[in-house]
Amino acid sequence: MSTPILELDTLTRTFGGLIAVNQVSSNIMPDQIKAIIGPNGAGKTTIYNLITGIYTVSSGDIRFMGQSIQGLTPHEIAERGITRTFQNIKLFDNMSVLENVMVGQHVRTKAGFLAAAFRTKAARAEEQLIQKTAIDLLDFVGLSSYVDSPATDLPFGLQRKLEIARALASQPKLLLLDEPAAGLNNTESQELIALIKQIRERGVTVLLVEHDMHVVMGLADEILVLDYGTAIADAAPTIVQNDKRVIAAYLGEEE
Amino acid sequence: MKSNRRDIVGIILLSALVLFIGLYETRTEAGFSSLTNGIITFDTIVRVGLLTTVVVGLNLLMGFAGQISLGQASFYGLGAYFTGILTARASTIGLPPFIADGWWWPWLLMLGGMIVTGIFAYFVGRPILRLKGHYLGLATLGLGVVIAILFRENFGISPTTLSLTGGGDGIAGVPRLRIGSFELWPVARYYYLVWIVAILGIILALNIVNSRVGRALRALNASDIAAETIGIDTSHYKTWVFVISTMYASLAGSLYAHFQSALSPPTFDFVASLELVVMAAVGGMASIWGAPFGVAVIFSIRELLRARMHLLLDGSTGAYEVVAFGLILVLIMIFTPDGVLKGFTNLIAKLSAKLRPRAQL
Repeated sequence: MSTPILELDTLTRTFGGLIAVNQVSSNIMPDQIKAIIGPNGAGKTTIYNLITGIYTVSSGDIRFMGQSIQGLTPHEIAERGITRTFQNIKLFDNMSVLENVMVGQHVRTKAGFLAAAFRTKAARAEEQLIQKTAIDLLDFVGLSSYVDSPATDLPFGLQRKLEIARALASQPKLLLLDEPAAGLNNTESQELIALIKQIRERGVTVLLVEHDMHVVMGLADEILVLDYGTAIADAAPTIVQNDKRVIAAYLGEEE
Repeated sequence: MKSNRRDIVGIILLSALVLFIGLYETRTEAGFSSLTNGIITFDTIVRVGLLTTVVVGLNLLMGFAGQISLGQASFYGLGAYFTGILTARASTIGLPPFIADGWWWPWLLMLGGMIVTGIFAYFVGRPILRLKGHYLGLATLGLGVVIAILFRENFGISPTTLSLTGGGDGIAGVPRLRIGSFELWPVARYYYLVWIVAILGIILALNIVNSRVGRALRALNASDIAAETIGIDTSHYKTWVFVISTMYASLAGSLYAHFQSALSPPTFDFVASLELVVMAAVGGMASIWGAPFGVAVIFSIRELLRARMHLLLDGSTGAYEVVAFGLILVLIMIFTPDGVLKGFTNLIAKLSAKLRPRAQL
């Protein structure tokens, strides 16, 4: 068996007296699509914030490709190859659709203040490459007809796609999607499922926090179920579906 | 890109305007001020050029990166005093004459002032720029006040031992700039230098804005967290754009010192810092081009009031000018909240849209 791309090792995060994430351990394998599900407040987004370095870990460890990424800043983690989207879309509202994807390539490009100010040859060549890559990515997610629109003029469903394109622009090895199907209609979530499958085919491992069970069951190879910050199941969808503790967490305990 | 072409046209238009004003001043008997009935003098145009350079830097910092500075005039002062002390006070400090009298010395000081100010801003900026919004405003305000007091109080050194800043009296006798034996004076010569620097400053800033770096700055302005998670080292960019904005201010300060030939503390105090922010806001911070507009509009209003206020209100004093000035500012911000430049371009767009539809039918 190959080594996991991401390992959560007895991961714990407390806020004052509240234990938001409690000793969660789980492995994400390369090229896998893994979903994290659980009732509201189960700690899903907190885990994302821990993986991406927005929160610090209280105890336990997070290893990415065998190396601990604990204590790294979010931009260092992005540089290692983990990027994410946000539940409440965080596009750069002062930029066009194209520019949002261009800025996504920041970690993989170099031009600094001096090179930019004096428009060096290298900087101009890089700029062209950035633009081309961005257009290709917009093509990939199906936004090529919106290149010059302001990002916030896009309809909601397309904003989600743009955020995914921006995240892909940093050439991540692991992509964290935070409720990508929230607010999407049926057709849109079908498209989303297809898109996520294509992303996996590009060699990107996908971690997915999602409430829409249809999307989760249609995509996930494995599901990690959280309840009150604790992992109560971590297995293939068919097994998780029939797990007593999972059913109890979602539907309530039988007396 | 579209915006690129517009910028090039802007640079050409601005250069042409600068050339026109310069030639009008030197080639006509009456000089430039006759064009404005003496309200706006040639001197004022030089000052507009100096502060345009400062506000371009401020626009990068505030308009693009979204980081406020209420102490920018103090960095303008750092450049000015750096130049002033090391030229006018050269003998006090004990600089050998072959250095102090060299024509190249003040040019070196301009560069030196930028570097020293930049290094200072780097070390001060790193901790300060962790603050956000109003707190950052307060911190930069405090910093500006402290620096202004250091100028006024001779850096805390007893003036009888060693007078560097001249305290409240300031520094007099800053020499004019020379290239070899060619003196950049009278003012018509110096004018070109000031505006060449301003235009180069605009070009470099435009290049930064339309680049990977510029996108990173706008990204952290829009969302700190999203920028970080996409891989942008936000504190690195905040610090460096702050450093660059202070270097713009410092360079303009050095040029001011040679222009005015004398320095006094109030030029660099808190009120001056506020005025710079007002200029940036009035011009419009979302574009580098807002800078020359904002500075020119503020200067024009002030000069106009100074010259014509007495017609509006018989026997009015300076205090009335301030009141009118304030009212006009309020009106500008109400009617063109995104700055006069944006208001102006919107107006043109509206007018051309009104003229066009018939043709399309």
